[in-house]
Amino acid sequence: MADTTLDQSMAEATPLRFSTRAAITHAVLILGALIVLLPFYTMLSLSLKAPHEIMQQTGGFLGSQELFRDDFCIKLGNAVQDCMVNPIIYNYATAFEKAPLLRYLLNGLIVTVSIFVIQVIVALPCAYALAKLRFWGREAVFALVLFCLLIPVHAIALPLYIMLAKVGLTNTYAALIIPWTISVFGIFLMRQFFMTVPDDLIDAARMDGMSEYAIIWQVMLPTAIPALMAFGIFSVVAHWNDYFWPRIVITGNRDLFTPPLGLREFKGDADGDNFGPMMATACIIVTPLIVCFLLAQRRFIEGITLSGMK
Amino acid sequence: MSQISLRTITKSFGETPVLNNVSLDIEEGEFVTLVGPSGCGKSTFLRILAGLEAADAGQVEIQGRDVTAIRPADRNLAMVFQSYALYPHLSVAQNIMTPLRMRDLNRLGRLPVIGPLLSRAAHRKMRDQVGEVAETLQITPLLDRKPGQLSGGQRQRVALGRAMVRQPVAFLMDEPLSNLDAALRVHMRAELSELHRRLQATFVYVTHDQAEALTMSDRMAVMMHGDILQVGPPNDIYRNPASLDVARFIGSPRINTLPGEVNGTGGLELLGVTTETRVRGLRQAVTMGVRPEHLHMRVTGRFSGTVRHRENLGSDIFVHLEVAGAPAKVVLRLAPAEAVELGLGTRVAFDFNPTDILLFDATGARLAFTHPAREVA
Repeated sequence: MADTTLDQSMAEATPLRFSTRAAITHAVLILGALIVLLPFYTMLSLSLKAPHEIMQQTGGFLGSQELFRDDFCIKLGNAVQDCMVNPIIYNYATAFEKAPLLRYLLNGLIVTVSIFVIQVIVALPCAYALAKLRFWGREAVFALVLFCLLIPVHAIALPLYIMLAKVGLTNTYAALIIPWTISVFGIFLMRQFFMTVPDDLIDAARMDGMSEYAIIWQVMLPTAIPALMAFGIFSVVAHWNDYFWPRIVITGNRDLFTPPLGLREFKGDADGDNFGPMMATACIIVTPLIVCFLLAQRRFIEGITLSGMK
Repeated sequence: MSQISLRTITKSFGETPVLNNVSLDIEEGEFVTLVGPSGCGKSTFLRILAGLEAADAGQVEIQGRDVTAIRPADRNLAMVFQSYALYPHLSVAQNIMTPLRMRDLNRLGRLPVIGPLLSRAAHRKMRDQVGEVAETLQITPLLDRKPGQLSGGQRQRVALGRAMVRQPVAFLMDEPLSNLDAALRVHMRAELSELHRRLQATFVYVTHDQAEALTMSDRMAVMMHGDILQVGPPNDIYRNPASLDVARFIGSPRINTLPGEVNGTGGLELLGVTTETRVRGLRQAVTMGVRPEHLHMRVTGRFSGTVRHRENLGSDIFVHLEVAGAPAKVVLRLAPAEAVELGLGTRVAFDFNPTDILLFDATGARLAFTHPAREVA
């Protein structure tokens, strides 16, 4: 009897044993992954195919990659054989030609980096004060920070727009950046992190002769790098992908378009939707983020665990 | 005039009083220990001296200058923290250099790359000072490491180095040894005493460990409930405690206390035995204290108890006796040879020399007593 129970327990310990539980878990996860990946699959596939393949939904993932006739080229009066193009080259070339996509990418970079830098400059001192300094009304201020976390951007979009319009700042970089410079989420996240920094470290810095600002930039900032990375990822992703706010404050000037606004160039034109170049643009826009994510994958997951967000 | 003096310091956190009118004078070059159980206000007292905490009332003077309203960095004190509080992102050398950088360089000189180029001489001098300190503490090979790569004892030395480098008026230490393991703690005790002798500097040391206070300090101040109960050299406090609280706190194992009574003729009665000790004063209940090393096993002993526990420390054996009428076990220190035959449950007779006892009244204050000269054995 004793031997058989021993054998059983050893069999359970072997890693290759089929487990219904694990199988179900993986089935669900694989299904979820497929649902999430499907739009990306479509986006990539459409950016590779010719227009007639897209319309007739033929050609599988890659399409036949046969040369096709570019009607726009023929309208310009060129010979038919000069207007035969490869779908991939046509889609990606049109993406860059029809809209100044590089300019959009640069705008996206300028806006996201400025927003993040200013957010850090504002959030670190606030978080330090809320976490480590004792002053009258500190709890009330922190309660306000928590309260502000609950306000959706869309609720205050109109007043913000009116303010910016009155000051004459619409259609400028400032309009894209200023509303986001104070991030209550950033203040909250950094405050939670600073709470874990031992008070002794700050007292030691004071004994060494540092001013409170010197403590923030020379002691707290270097120790807070992991939290800042997490916050940076959230901030950059949110503002790189933001379509709503740029769409409101950038009305005419195409030089100020951010990458998501660039997608509009291919939508609802007189000659119909041009899905190939549009999807090519989409691919180009998401590439920097995907590359960043792959490079900082571990940090990203750390960041999500740190903030307790999903 | 003393070098550091704290006068009538009062502090409370909200409704809770932490320090009640505490005063202390510290002479130059002294090793003063503030010792007391946790929550007695000793750390707060030190932080007020450092300037990290503001007192509600009272004055702090350093070298005759009133520094009550002066910020910590300008008091020229250095502090070693329990957690060492090293900057985790800086190397050991940079950690030690930080107080010098903040004191000796202007804003421009502190810039990362340009700074060393602009004030070359100042930077060289600072590096030399760091080198000297590292030499003294024997941490030169560690200078390029980060604090995370050091052991507890090494971090301790780096924290000391950071304190030493600017040659402060006094070193303040807040339980600096309590994060070390027992063996290293005993070792560092000796090393700190040695460092104190070599630097000839003033040390103010806070601890809850009475052994650290007894072994290292020139003078110790016993604190309890926000008051300093007694200040004096360790030996005085050990032999001649001013109150029952002090007697109980200092000494390990704790002093034995037995309830007693002064009868109508001034004689002391203990556990039904009338002793020859005479107390001036009225009939009253008293507490007698006697240290474990002052109790002797003697066949003719007037008191007796049953062995309930033996603690073997190698050099000494502490025997815990259950004595009828005594509220707690009575502890005797015996030489190993004496205790060989004392199994659990053995009946033991013991006695003490009448000069070795301490008497306290009902409020815990010391009582004077006399004893006939012939009894002194």
